[in-house]
Amino acid sequence: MKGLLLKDYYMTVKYCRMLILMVLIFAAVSAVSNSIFLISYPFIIAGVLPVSLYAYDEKSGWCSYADAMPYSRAQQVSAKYISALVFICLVMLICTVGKALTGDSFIEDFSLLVMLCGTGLLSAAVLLPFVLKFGSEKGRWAYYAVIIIACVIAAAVFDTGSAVASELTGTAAACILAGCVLLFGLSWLLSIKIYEKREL
Amino acid sequence: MNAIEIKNLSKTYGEFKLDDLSLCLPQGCIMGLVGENGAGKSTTIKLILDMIQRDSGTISVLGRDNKDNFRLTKEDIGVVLDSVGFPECLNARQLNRIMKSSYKNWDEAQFFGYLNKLNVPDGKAFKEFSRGMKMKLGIAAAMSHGARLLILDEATSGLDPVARDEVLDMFSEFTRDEKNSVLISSHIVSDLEKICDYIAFIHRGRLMLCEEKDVLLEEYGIVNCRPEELGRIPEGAVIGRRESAYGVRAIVRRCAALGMQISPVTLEELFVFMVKEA
Repeated sequence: MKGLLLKDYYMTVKYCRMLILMVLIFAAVSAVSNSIFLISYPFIIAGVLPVSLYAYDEKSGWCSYADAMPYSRAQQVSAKYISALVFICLVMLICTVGKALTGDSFIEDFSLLVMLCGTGLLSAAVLLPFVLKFGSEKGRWAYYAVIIIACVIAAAVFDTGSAVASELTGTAAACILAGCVLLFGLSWLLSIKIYEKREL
Repeated sequence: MNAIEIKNLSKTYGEFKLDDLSLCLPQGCIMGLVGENGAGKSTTIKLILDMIQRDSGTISVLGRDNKDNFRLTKEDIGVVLDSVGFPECLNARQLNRIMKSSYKNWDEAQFFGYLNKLNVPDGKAFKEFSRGMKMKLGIAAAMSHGARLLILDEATSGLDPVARDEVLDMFSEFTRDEKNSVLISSHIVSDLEKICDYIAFIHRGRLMLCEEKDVLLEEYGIVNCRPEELGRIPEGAVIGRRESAYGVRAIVRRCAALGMQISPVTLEELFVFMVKEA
């Protein structure tokens, strides 16, 4: 699967520069302004980045080519989920460094970190099965729906979310994270099943 | 052993049906898959590569069923698809690294050797490549991981005549090792006539014939005659005809036209006449 991940890395660097720039800007602004809405956005982008990569794969015909290479369908799907995890971890790292530079620390606010990671994981978990089933053209409606719903939730909940996040106990936050990870895992398995039946 | 063995393969796509297709590509041979647009060539190739699900039938590739751990078999198959399929932002050096991480037997030196031979730049992004250049790159990649079988879907389209000649020589050279085989689909029948040992002709989802090329060319010929002369040849021996004010030009079985002047037929003429008659 290393070849598929390497290909995604090259494509991310080439095609997703603007998205990476947006992640950095949002992370920097949120570190200064302490806005949870702004800081949640890079996590959502990290979750949906593999969907953009898949759209490029479809456009170039890579989906069919990769299927002729010595990769199973499960590996082709897994590459996208692993990419999502890597992107979310990178955003987490960038935001943590940003916070640390402004004197704040995510480590002190474990609950907030959990909610942000959960947002990224859920974005990928919801979108990828749709896109892998219907293709990026039809799946983009799910893409828009996730972005809009995530932004509405972030705006509605997270504006008062500092209090919500800080009131969460460590156990509750860990349960939320476990739930998100579970949904991400189920989505991963579902996508493999879907993609194994897809005609390329 | 047969490199590809297809038995009673069927697949329905809306109104299109690939119907009960059976063919064998013996190891060490090149088979040309000929047919019009939409005849079922790409569908057949996709079914062989298990990219789409068959309705019925069996497909064996390099002696193994293509539903049986096909990932391992694909190490031994070099593929060039109609769309080539490389991401536009990459260049050949990056592609080399991806392939190196994907195929156990990837031969970097061979890959760059082919690029050099085919005049493909290794530092230029593919979006700047012409279709022909992309095809050359696809061919170089397909032939650089020790494949035993090449499956090529319209791999010579977009190539200039010189490059086509060079590439066809590469395919012929590849099958000098009797363990290696090639399945190639093309609209350019003259290309297939140059290199193929077998010809499979698909028309509207049905296999019209699958025969050794030399047998086909020996069996059929062209007669130019008057309509009443053609009438003396049994109907079943006339493959196709074209009438004009000057007479009839027809493709016939040589054995049924004894005594008539018969000129050699090309594969292209044979298929054009067959399609029009079908």
